[in-house]
Amino acid sequence: MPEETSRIPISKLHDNLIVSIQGALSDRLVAQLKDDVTDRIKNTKVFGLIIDVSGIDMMDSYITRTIRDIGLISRLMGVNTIICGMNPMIAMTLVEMGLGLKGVWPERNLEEALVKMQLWRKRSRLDARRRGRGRRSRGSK
Amino acid sequence: MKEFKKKIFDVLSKCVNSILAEPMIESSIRRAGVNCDKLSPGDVNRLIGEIQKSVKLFVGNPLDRKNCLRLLNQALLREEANRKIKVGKVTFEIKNESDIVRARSRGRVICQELGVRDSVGIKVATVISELARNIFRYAGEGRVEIEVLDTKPVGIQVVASDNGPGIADVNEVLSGNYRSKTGMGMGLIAVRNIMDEFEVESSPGSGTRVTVKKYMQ
Repeated sequence: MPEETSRIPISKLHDNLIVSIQGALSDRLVAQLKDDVTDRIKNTKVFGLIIDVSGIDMMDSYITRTIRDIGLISRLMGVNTIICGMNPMIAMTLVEMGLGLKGVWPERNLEEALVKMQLWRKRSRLDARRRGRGRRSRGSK
Repeated sequence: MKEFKKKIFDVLSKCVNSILAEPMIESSIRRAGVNCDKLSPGDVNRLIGEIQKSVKLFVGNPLDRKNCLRLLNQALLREEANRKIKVGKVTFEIKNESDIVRARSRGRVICQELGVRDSVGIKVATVISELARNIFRYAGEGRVEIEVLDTKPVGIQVVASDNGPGIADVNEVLSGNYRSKTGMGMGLIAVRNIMDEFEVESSPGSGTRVTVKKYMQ
């Protein structure tokens, strides 16, 4: 078996990691992606992870499960995950197969995913400020 | 396939100058990258698409353009009606991961050549991937056969067989209570859900044989 050296690229944009999956995926490639993403999350300061699946050729139970796992693992590490660009034919097949991407937020395309991420980010900052103020006011009493 | 070319030429020359029609067809053939001597149904679709593109480019008058596209569609439909489907069988030996990808890509190409909807192609590719992975994971090696059936409506059959350890209790796996370590434990159930016919023959020690069929409505 020829050793595959290709990897799925992970790019950083502002506070987000963006993974764009293109073409035919082998099992090894998805498993590698899981390791790479968790590594990058650990080593870089990011707020969100966006997985763009618009270029994927098909999704079977293993690939679906791995992508969902990546989402859930990232959430556990404190990173919000959005999956975007789902092809209608693939979505149809997934639903008919009885598989889903439970636990991962779906968005129509990369643009909307970025907007959503920004919104979440704003909200979390607001929450943090509000929490901070509450603590201070309690402290002064 | 001289007749097909001539048919398109007849259609085009009704709408555009016949001096223009000839190079339009030639360039479309070049862009579609098809061999005119043996056109598969998929090739015909691609070729017609290219010709439609050049019609949109060269025919300025919207009314003429609409008329021309309509005539082309009619020609395509007639072509589809007397299309002969190539019945055949392809076998893939599954020995490693890249064989899985190769088998499912080929399955999809076969569906495209049959000229069926893309959703069916994706389903067939998904099923091949699922079955081939089971072979690779549990039996180590085996084979996947993709066959185009001469039925009406045309069907596609995928047979995945191996000489691996076999499944002890097929009914338990299919009931949904079983969970595998590697997948969602739903591979076979998923396959059953999206195929029209589904059959598993397996007993411990004598390998597994899964036969599925999908008909193109």
